[in-house]
Amino acid sequence: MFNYSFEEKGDNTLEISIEGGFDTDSANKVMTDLQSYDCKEINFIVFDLSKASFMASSGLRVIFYAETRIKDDMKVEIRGAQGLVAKVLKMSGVDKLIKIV
Amino acid sequence: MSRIFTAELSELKKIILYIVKELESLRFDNETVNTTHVICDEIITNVIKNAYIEKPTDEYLIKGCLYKRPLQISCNKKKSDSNRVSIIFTDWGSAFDPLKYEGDSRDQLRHGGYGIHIAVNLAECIKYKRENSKNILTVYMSSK
Repeated sequence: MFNYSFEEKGDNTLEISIEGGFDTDSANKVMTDLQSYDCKEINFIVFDLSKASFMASSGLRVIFYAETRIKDDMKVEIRGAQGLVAKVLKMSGVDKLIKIV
Repeated sequence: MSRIFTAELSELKKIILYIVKELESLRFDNETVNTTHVICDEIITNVIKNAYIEKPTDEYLIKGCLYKRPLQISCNKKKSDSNRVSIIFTDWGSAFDPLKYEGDSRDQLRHGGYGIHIAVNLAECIKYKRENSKNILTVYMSSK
């Protein structure tokens, strides 16, 4: 079962929480919403992956879109990754490019 | 048992669900099912995006029926090893050996094209062959 939410946390921060499998089908939904989200006041995006059970490369593409395509000074952080999600992040070398907490 | 699907993005969820249900019926553990889900997502997405680029409207005669952009999937359990399954992906598109694909640069990571690297590294074993103008990719996974 896949679920996700966008929540503004103050301090110009947007938290995107992912629950369940972050595969191509679900990543396309998150990407569509992110592309249409008003990020004028946002300069920090946190991906909370603590409830994500797995992630494919399409999930990585959403995170890179957030980091590189919305605005030049956007900061992105990944939180709570564990198990298979952490394994894919490490395998892909994302930790060298984006802060993982 | 095998099934033939159409390699289109709108079919992706249905194709993966077919494989996941096969693994669940074989009582595979959740972690292995999730890992296989990721591997299949990457392999199938790659076929959908790339295999039929050169001949998108060609039709292929398979077992007496005509198919456009066919992707045949077969899940087989070994009789001698009930914990091991082979998932065979067959497409009739352009030749592509994922085992020879170098997709590990940071730049490529930012711009996509990293899925095959993930699939190859997560799978227990992957074998590829080009036979009769078909790409035949076999993924082996074992339940824990």
